[in-house]
Amino acid sequence: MRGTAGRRSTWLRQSSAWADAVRALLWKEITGEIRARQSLGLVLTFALSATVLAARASLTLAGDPDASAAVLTLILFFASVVGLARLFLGEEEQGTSGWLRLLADPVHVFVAKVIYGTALAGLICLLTVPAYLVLCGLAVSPGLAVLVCGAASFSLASAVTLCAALAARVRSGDAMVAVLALPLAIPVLWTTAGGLAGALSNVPVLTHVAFLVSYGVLMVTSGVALFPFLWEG
Amino acid sequence: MAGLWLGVLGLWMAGVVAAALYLVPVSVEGLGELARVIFFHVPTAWVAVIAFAVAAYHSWRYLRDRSADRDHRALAAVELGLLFSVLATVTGALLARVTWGMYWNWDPRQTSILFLLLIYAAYLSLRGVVRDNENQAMLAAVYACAAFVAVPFLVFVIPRMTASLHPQPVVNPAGRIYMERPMLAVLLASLAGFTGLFAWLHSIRWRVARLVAAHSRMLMEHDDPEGGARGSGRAD
Repeated sequence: MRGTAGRRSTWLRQSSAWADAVRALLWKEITGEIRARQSLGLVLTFALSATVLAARASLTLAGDPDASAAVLTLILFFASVVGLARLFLGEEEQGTSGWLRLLADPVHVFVAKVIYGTALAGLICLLTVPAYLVLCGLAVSPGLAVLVCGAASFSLASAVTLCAALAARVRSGDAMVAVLALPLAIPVLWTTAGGLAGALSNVPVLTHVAFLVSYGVLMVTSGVALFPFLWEG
Repeated sequence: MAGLWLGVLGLWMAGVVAAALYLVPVSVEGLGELARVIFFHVPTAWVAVIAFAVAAYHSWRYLRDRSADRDHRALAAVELGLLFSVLATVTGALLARVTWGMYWNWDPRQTSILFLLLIYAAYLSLRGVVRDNENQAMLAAVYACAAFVAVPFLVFVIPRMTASLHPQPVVNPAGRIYMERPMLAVLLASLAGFTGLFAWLHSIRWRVARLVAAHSRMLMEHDDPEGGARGSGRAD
């Protein structure tokens, strides 16, 4: 009995230490962004510009939920890649990756980056989806749209984060992020487009959300297993 | 032993080709004689998926033990996977032309195999931009393992989420086989034959890759005895 309680207490202590480490790394990302004020502004400006251009170009498609959802998904992807590509390249350029390697566990680093990436992608969704809908005069089921965007942000961030870590290790890393991430994100984009079309037509999107979440969970799991090789290699 | 195995494989494949093209009566509505392409289309798609699984396995093993052999095996598997994916796409397009009136109509299954091609083309691009052998192998191994996560989603999940004109595959949710027994027998024989063919081609390809690596290492050592030994770094 005492053994079980002891094991539980050890597990709780380890989980708490793990969560503290991830929280500290996440805080580092946020404070770094607040101090530099470069990457977020750049990403949001790009997302907004792309939304305005795409909305103008796709006015004739506005009646077709599938086409509108596909355009919106592409904006989300490219805006997210612009932001997520900096996750590791920024560390390399500023020379902070060496410190991180010394001080932090790679799994903590990866999980913190995925959480930060999810928040960034969510922020992009928060800006672009309402803007696109208003500009095109479209109506959407808000609950369904939030569900799809939340799941898509997580799934996209989980797929792109590992690619960003890979690209940080090669020449012309910025370009490589898109080359590596686009094929891996295709299942996410395909399903997000379907889910957003469902939200625009007010039909159930639970299958799409379940797909996005499970893809994200598997990508994070594989990332947790693979990232230490990349980080320490 | 290898010669015997190769002989058996050759005879087996000859039998499969003969049965697929001449011996077995085919009865698939709307396809006529072109239905015989199924005996090659399904196995090529099957082997492509097996090849990507093999690549993921060897990539994972490479990350564990850093043996260059594992990297050569993974690369060979990806190259063959791409080759078989192209064959599956082309044979699928032929079937699509007859049944749907056009070579390409964005059917989920057609699109899935195209996406697989893109994913593993990115693997080759990644290898192309990294010069250092060890770094190249490590980055490629990480990508190959991550890429394989997408494979079941593309092959099994997405085609079942959206409406498709593609005939029910042999492995389908209903758990039933929609095929005459003689056709099924030839198809299964073809699956086994193509799997053996892949194993044979794979063993040739990775041994060639190993020889090429040994040759370039030898040239480097010849040009710069100290630098060459430093640059190669790994033992096969």
